[in-house]
Amino acid sequence: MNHSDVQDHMADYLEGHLPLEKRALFDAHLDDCSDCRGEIRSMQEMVTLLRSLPEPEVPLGFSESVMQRVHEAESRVSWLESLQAAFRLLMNPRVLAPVSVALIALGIIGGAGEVEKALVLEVPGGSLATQTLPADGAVLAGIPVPSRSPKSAVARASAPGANFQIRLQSGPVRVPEQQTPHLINPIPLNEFSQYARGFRGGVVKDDVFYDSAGVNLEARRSGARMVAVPSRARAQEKQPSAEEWLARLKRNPGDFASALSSSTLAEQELWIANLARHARQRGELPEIIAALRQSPNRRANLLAEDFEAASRTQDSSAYR
Amino acid sequence: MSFEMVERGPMAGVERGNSSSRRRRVVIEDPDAELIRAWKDGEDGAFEQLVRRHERRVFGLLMRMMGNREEAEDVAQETFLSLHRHGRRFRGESKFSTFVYRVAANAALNRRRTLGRSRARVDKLAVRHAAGDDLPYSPRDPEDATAGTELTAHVRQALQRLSPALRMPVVLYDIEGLAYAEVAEVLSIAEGTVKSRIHRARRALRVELKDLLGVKDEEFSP
Repeated sequence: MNHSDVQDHMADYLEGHLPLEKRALFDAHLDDCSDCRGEIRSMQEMVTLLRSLPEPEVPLGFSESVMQRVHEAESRVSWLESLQAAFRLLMNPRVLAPVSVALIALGIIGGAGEVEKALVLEVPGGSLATQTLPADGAVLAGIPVPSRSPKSAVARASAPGANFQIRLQSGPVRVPEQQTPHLINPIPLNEFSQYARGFRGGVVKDDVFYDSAGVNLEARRSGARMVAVPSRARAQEKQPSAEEWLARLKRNPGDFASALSSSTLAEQELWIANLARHARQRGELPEIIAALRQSPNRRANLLAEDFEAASRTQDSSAYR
Repeated sequence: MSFEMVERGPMAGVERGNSSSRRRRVVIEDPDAELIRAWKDGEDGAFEQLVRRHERRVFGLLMRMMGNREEAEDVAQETFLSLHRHGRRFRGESKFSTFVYRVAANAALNRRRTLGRSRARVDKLAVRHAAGDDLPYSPRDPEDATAGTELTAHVRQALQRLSPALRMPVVLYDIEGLAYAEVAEVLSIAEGTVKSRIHRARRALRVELKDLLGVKDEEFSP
């Protein structure tokens, strides 16, 4: 055994993981070599130092603080998740056909059939979905409803002062037969999400919908951008590729960052990781990070750091 | 590898990890299994018990990795929130503690200021700092209490100078007391890679700490 062997096997020797024969050879070399003896001794001392570091004490009230954040997240997530899931369901071309049928259930378009999921606006005495007629389309708390006046439907279905809820209904939902499929493109994702975060149901007063904060939902609705899109055409619409997303990001980093911030943390991580990988493969990562950093949008500036972090993580040389 | 041989190594008398509960070479059943079941069943308080049970190891690891209490606390909170969000999918293929370490290690390596949330956290810390409210930490932290001891401070600083790729394995193995296989699982790298990184980390640390080790300069070859 020589110096190089000692280097190779030092860790195993220190931990006692060397087979007996090798250990004997190792010991024999140490007997003759003061350099290696010194190295082993210093390594032992160093490891002892490391292992004798005092354990950091957990901050006072740490678990309470974690649980507080968990409870806050839970109350926020239940609404956000259901409405965001509903939104994604509507916007995803892969489920557009069934959703179009689901909209039939809402009375936006006529027809009959059965779908797996539908958005149902519930009020005492019945659901808005079955009370309304096909119409040009509108948005109520992110959920498409007929513009033919939801208040009249509610007036028929509920007494003034009744509370209402919006829920995503799973399981077979019986709907009329499809005739003229339309998908209502609700308010932009960011606006929707911001609103959905605070949405806690609402109340009907004087035949008008108010949310729990007392905001007239019809008034809110009237300010939203609404576009009716033939569902078939939209279903064939190609999802933007990674390149297109990167182009959008470079073109307007602030909008991209704002839109992304409405996603869940897990979704954000996925987006950032994927786009960072694509950008790096195309050699565009520095450009993307610079665009984000130079944006006047604070979220975009923070996103620049996320892209850098994702890039570092993906750097295989660091960990693989 | 026999247990007897492990005991006969030169470092055999130097216990790894700071707690006796950290060393577990053979585990028949996950000690957290019951709590995890209760948590998945929606039992009140089960997740909080898991937090309490693992907060020490998570915070310990993150302190070594981040080198700063505020940062470590922030990432530790993110770790548990992430566990709460995604942990119900834990299928028991590894020990829960290993899973927790993995989430914490990823959180440390991916340290990113998540939009909005960390901004609020930073603002909160700034307010607390401005109010001079850092007292809850200082007197209770044994590491700070011994910070005056040059030795501890030097070792901590030396650790911080290591790259994360070397620091993480050596912290998990030498300080947290995980087995090679567990470190490999936490970091999703081969066991051989773990060993070589620990060795490289130790060598780098030895160079950093040579003045404290009382060994002649010529004995060091980084």
